Amino acid sequence: MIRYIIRRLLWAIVLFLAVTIVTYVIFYLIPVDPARLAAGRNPTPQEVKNVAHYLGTDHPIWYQYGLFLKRLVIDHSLGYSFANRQSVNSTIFAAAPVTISLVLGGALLWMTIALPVGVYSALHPRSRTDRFAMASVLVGISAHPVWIGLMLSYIFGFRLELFPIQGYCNLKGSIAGQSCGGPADWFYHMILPWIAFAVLYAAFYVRMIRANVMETLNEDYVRTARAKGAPEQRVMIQHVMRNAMLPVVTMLGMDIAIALGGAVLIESVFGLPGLGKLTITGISTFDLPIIVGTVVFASIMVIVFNLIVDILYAWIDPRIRLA
Amino acid sequence: MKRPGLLLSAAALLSGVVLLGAAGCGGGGSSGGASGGSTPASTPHQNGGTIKMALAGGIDYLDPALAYYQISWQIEYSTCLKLLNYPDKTGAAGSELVPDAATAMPSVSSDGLTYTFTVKSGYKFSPPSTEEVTPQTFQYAIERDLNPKQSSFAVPFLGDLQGASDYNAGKAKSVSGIKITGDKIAFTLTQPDPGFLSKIAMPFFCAIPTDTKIDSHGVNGIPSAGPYYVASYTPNRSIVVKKNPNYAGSRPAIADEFDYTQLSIDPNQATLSVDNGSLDYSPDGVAPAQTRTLYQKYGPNGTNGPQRIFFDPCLCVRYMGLNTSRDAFSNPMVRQAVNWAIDRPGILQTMGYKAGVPNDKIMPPGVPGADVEKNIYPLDSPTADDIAKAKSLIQQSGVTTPINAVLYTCNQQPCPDRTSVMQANLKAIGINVQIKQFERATQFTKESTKTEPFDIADEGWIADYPDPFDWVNVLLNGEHIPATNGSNYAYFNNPDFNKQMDDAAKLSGQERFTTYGNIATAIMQQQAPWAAWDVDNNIDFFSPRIGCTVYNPVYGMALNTMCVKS
Repeated sequence: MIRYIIRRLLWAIVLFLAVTIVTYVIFYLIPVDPARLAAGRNPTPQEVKNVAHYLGTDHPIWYQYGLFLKRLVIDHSLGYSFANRQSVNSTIFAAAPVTISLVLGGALLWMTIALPVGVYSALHPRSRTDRFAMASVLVGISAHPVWIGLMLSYIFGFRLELFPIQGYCNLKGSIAGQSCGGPADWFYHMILPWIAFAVLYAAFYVRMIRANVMETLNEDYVRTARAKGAPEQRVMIQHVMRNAMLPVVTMLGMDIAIALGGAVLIESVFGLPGLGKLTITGISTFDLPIIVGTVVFASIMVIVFNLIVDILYAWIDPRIRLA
Repeated sequence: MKRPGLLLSAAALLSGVVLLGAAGCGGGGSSGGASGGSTPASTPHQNGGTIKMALAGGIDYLDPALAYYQISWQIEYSTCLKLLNYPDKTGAAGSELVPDAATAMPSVSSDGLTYTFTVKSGYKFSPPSTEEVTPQTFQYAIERDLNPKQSSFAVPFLGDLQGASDYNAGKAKSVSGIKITGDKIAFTLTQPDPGFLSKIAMPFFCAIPTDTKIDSHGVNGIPSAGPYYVASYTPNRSIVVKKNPNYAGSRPAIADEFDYTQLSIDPNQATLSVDNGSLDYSPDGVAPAQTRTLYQKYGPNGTNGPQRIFFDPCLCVRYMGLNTSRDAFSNPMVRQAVNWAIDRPGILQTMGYKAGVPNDKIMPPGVPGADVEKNIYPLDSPTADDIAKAKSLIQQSGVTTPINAVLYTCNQQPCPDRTSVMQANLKAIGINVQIKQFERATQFTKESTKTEPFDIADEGWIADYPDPFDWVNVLLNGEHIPATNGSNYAYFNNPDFNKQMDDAAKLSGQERFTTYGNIATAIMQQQAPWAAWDVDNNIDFFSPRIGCTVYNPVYGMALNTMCVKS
């Protein structure tokens, strides 16, 4: 297991380098001068040169990349934003909890919906409940998350005034300028974003769980277990669920990891100051340090969660040996 | 999210929503009675209160040396104390400089090189600073801006200040052109620059305590000496602006506090939040697709009570820059023909309801001299006579049609929509336009590259300061067009007009403004390097509890005059 983890971590470094190199190359290929953008509304050519020197964009791309790696490894710094010169580290660390709140809360919600609904549907195929569930799944997959978010916000926020229209409150307490803060406010403000975020995933996972459980129910070992007189609960939990959940665990890990890179659409609709919004802003202002910073964070999340999923997989299924 | 196709479809969906909203907006591009941006200061109101705000586009900095966004300057208009400032007034009066920290307008030496201000005593910075404002304060602010370690955007605006270049290059320990004697501060220039007063009134030159550190990343929460100060700033999250208890001036300061609760709100959500009162104001967060409904409900004759939405012209212009250095538009008669043929209200309609006012001038209202500049081309949709005139001009020019032209625009709505209208307008007079769309930043990088093969630039300009130099000379003087990063997208270089612009730059007072107005008229009449088509409206929407609003043409809605109605 230890050798496996070490090998995975080494591969992670290779992956990290590949992803960041590609990011730099793409940025370099775009015909925009970030110094021109960062130099104000009407800079003279000399001003643009001065700003380029300040930002370091007057060096070749390979030099800039080397500087980035050196800064990251030695100073543990992702640099400073081109647009507002704030530390990228602190900007990302401030945005990450927002996205983590959204994604983990949304994941909990979608699994809370998908697991019982998927299992029930699998155990009662073609029942009225099953058909209703599948119709809801179709709606959930078809309706765009932005549309869902806007509708929820408009109906429950604006019209019925049951929930905030938008906005985020810190979990730990209010920050200056915000009148809300603390666990209760945080939870209240996240309800609509969680629902909007979870609907699509819940729909997919209901279908996946339903299909996996139905397939597993037909396996020989399930029939054998029943024939041997095992209680139905034991059959369901030890044999059916344990096997049916394997692909679900894999998908869950991947989906959470990728969503942690930035749930852009939901963050935009509800004004959540998370990584998705940060990435969009960084891209629109050609802010390379911010773009690279969010890519680094997203890559780390994917790598870590993939590792966790693989280890969990081996733990759930003893047949899997991590080589 | 996991599935990239969703991102694309989301973008398409959002674009569709904007398109539908814009398409649903009928005629009526004029501001028609909804402008002025002022509600009577005699509105019954309480002194104090907290006003909740949100921003859609965020801010760049709150350090005066670095802040350059219009929104940042709107905040600084309420926090800054400057030697000169623009009064809390609307209309033309709002763009006339008045003394602020200075006792009076400066005395100017006979050679036009030295400006001497007397600094009022009694001004103090906001807590926690206990420092008083003195001439040394302003010297420090300017030298900090020029300090190479600060990397400030103010440097180009002080190019004519004696000793500024040496100080900025690290060759001098102070700026030789700044002299202090008692309560007086004098600035000596290397050459006459009547626009100097407009430049020194920019927020870059706010009074700041002399112990403010030099930091190229910007310093947040610098104490201010104006009516308000920034009490806290959490980047990307919130800003708190509070009334300055130490303010000794005469500008109003009514509300106690402005809480910017969010700095990246979605405009649709911002509009809904202001509508139901959970927010009071979002300066940049009115969704274009909702403007018509808001006007019907909350306009001057709205169905839902007192006026809450205001439309005021910004200090900006949108135009088609006709590249005079390439064949398609090298002939001025062809360029004049474009001005006769384009449908200004039709192009404006793609921007949304009451998004702006049709315009054919170089300078927008609010810039001194704009009232002297004359309208020449049709501001209504072109008539058959206008089209015939355009065609006749092309015929007289000797240029054979069809003329092929390449237009550069941005790739987000409403750019594609409005350039489609331009394309159709020009096709009617024998100009075939090929539209190329780019990311906005890519677009103007390409346009400001001298050798770039484009013929029409879909562009706009917003003033750094309300002086005609910042329009006419900066955008149309062809003497020093750089190879890259220029602003003269028409590549207009007429020696006669260059000289007129250079001579006008040396004038001052009303003579300066009148001369510039006449030059702008002559340029558009004779050479027409642009086809200007719009002055955008700033659209400001307030919750029902907000009153006493005053729209300043330079900085937008003044925060310091806003009140909470009783």
